[in-house]
Amino acid sequence: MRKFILIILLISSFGGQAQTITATGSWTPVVSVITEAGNNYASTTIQSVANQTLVSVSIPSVILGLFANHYTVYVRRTDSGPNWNTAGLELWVRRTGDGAGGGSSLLGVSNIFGGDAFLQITAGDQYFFEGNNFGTTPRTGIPLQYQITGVSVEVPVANYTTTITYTLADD
Amino acid sequence: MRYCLFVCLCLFSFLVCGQSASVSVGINLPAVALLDVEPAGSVALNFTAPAEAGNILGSSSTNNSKWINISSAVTTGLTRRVTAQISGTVPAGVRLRLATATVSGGSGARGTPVTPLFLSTTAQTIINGIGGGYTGSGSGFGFNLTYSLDIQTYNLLKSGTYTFSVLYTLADN
Repeated sequence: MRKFILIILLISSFGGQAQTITATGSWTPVVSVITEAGNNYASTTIQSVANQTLVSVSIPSVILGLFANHYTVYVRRTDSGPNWNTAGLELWVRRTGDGAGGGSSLLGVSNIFGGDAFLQITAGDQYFFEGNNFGTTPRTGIPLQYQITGVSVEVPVANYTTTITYTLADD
Repeated sequence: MRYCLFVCLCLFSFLVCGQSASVSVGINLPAVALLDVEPAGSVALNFTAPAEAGNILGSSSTNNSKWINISSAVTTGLTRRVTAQISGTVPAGVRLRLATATVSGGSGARGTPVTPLFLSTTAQTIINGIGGGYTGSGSGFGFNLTYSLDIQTYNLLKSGTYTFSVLYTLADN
């Protein structure tokens, strides 16, 4: 019996090592040109397309894939150059879809929830969304949309760049 | 030993592991320096001829129909100014007076007007301390300008119609 449990744990622990998160799709919007003196930019909010970034989560579930493996994705921002918030800019992200996959077993099917309302990305890790995967099938193509608010001539002229980091936690 | 291995595997299996992925987002906010005088068209100023022999010319008419509209985006620490100067020849014996009102409309660091002054062919600052800001576009937005004529040297006056321009420039400090 002990050997049996040992083997199961061994299998599941190897599965645990394969957890990965990938994100593809950066975003560099261009502000509209002001053509008339006296005006501000046409819009102070710029939105990306709904699937600007696609995230995939692979988190093999424990015990031969029978039981769901719950995960949480956190998000944070690391500015390079001027601080966005000090300048008056805010960067937001939301999940616009569920993606596909994630596996299933006799005990259930994968799911994903949270993060469907715009969340302002800050310098510290914040809860973004969570889900459950089964087996070794990753959930792929989770679409994310961004928006930048506060775009104005009142914001100091600069090239604002930041790195958005999505962290997967197997919890 | 077996017990130890068992515990280790249990811990490893349920260990909360973090793994990350990154993308970048960037936006370039360019410098903006736009100035306009609204509405389009010229300004006419007149002196009233005296109705009684021996009297001086009547006061100049005034005109406050023009507005300066500005859009300005600057790097941190930079400010701008608006200068005004006459282009052409002002009739002898006459000066053009310009009064610039405080800003109306818009938002941001739109600058502060100086006290009224007489314009010349040399650029003079009429609004200073412009940073990042916008005034709104069209009549009724920005800085209202009031023009009037002043007789500087009476004996140089000659009757007639004269045309000259006022050139406004938005420049970095």
